[in-house]
Amino acid sequence: MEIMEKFELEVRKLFPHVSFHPLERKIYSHDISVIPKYIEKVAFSEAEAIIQPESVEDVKQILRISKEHSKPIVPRGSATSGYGGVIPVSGGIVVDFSRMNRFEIDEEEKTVRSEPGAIWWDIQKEARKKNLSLRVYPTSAISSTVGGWIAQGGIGVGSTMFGGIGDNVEEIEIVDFEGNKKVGKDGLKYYVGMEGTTGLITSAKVKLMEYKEEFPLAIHVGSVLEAIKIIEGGKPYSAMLMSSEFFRIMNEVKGTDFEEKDTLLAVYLGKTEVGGMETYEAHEAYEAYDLWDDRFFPLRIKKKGPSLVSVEVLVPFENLEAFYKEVERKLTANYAVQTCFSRKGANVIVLIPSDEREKKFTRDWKTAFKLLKIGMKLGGKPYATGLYLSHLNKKVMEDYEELEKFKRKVDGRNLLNPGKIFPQGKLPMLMKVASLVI
Amino acid sequence: MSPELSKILEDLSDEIYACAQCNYCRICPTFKVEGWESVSPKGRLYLLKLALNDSEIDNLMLKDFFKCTTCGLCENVCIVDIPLLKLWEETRNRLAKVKGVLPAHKKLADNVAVNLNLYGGERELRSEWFPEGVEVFDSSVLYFAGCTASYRVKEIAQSTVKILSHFGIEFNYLGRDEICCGSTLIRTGQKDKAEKLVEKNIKIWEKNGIETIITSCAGCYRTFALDYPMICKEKGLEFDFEILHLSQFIEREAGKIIKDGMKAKLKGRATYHDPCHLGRHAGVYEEPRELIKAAGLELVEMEHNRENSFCCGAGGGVRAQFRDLSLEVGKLRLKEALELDVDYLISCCPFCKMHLSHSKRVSELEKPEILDISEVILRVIDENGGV
Repeated sequence: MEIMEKFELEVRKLFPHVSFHPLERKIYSHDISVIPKYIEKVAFSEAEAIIQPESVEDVKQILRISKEHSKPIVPRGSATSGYGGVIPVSGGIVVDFSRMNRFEIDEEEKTVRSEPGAIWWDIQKEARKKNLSLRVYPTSAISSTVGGWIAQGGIGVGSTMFGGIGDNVEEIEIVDFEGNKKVGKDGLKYYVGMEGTTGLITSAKVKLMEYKEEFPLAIHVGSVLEAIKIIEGGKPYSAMLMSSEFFRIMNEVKGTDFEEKDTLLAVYLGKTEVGGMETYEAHEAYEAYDLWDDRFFPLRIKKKGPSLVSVEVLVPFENLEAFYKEVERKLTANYAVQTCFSRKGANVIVLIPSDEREKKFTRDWKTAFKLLKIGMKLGGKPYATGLYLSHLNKKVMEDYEELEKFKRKVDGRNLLNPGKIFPQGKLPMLMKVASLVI
Repeated sequence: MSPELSKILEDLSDEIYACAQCNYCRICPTFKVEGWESVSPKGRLYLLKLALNDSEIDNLMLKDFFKCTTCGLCENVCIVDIPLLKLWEETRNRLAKVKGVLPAHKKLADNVAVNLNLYGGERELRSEWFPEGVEVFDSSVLYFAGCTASYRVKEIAQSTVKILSHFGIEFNYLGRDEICCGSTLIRTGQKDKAEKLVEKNIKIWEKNGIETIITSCAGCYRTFALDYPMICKEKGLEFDFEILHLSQFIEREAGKIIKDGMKAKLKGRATYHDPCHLGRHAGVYEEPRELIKAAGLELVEMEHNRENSFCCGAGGGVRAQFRDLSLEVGKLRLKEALELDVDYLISCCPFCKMHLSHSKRVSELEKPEILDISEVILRVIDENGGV
């Protein structure tokens, strides 16, 4: 019997929710990113099968099959990140965690214990019924998964006060080739932000807080320094800086009428006013609430494209203004900047509406990489590395050598999401060469 | 085959490429049941993108493409405002031309071609439901029952004409000359066949001096109010008819009478299911609710209501071609109603009533009672001395 046939037979026998259909495999081999075709050809491969586990036992079986048939494993949530983390580079099994979506809130402990496929906003809706709230969540919370954001090690809404997701996870359970185990505070660094390359997350215990009403202020700022001063003074729960061009494009695509000025959206908890704001010019209160409601929709501006090129750089506060000046220099028009402030630094997202059907798409990507390079020269680092930027990890990732050693220990055959975090194959070489030339 | 597919989709390229793949459309009812991205709006858009780049779409994937009730919930949440309803219907038309129509949908079209109704029922029996004692007038106000109320859920048509008669509305009714509105054909990629019905219907209405059309079917309402004017514009035809859903007409003409004039009221807790075609597509939300409250019922809302209403699961040809899937979606909607512990689940569409009742039967549920708004109004009339 052919090897593939044997693999397929075994998978179909063990799991009720599987697909080997060629088009389904294509669908499950992409994320939100769109990159130039010549990079796709080098970097991408296609899933050989998709399995949707429903339990920890299922996940253990998947790892057993992976080992037996030497099939790489690529974990997948909602695939709403753009770093290629869910894209297969050497075939294998895409593990779609969407059916593992149960969660339970502990009102006394103020925590939620969740399976990896649970959607952040579903948890938030339930938490609010108990007068609780997530402390942090991604701006993609309406569709993104617990496992996905933890595996990315993201920062997002609430990170100004509470840090990244890594600072808000108490414990996770993972499955690797040895079986399943609980991992507490000291061990989290081997899994949070590791894109499933060291083990698959099967549950997470995440901190909640008592719900307090959110009070947003949308303040016109004359400079980045002014925005930082406001944040350091008032200690908001969440803070985002949006460029005037961001509003111009938003008004164009949505038909809204926001004032097109650089604006800091600072959100405070349990307050109805914030002292020291009298000297600042602010949007109307209803606009501040509208902007706060709009926090889930920065990708709206993609409508202008119809494609979007983006770069996300975590920049230290002291160099933020310099980075902004460089962005302005490189991109004169038709781009938007949104910065999310966290305890780790300022996560600057530059969004460039583009068109992947046109030649300028490659030019826009080159510009994005130039901006990343500039950001790194200013002491910054990419928000995430995933597949496309794995070649940078040795330089930018804390404890890289220790993590690489750990990876070799738990996954000697590199079956767990190969090509992510730890560079492999042609793509990292290509990206290194490209970064020298750009 | 694939370059042909890419050619016919080329002018839809901007919409297809605009998709952010954000997955906010995970709210799709059929995706909730099936759980595979090929059945989600995001997955379908990615498939179309693959087709634009010459990937072959085989029959299995094509079937998945049609697992969509065209409810429009995806368009509601789309962050880049892709006109998804229009895109799905347009794509279905083009896919049907290249790949052929799905078998169950072809059967519907064949039924309409032969008997001028979806169910293949004899044309002469279309008006069999009409109750004795109710008079029809040579009036410019037409009652249009629709195929589902005429052949399947007859109590809705019967209740409607009794209500109209009770309130002294002199209405016309065309009997065997009432022919299918064409809604299902439009939703299943057979717009060209529906266009013939549009022309036929308009000729019949003009011949009978019709100016206003009242219908108790959300699907017919949407089709007359939105699709017919568009098709007429494309064909250079005039469309000058006032279209009203029964709930709009009764609320306007007799709402006050029911609310203030009818002292005996119904008792119980009710929730209202917004039919996609009447609510999200056509913006009619409040009139049915006002009538339910006027009838005396305590109205409580399901979690997904008004523009966020969850589909019953029947539309878009899904009930015909994918019965099990459609019933599972129906069960999800019933679950929302069950959470409220209501006595009645009320809607304004014979198709929704038929399908939710079927979903209730297969779930072996005792409650809630599923009623159309026409039945609710007739009950209030009966409580106050009858027709």
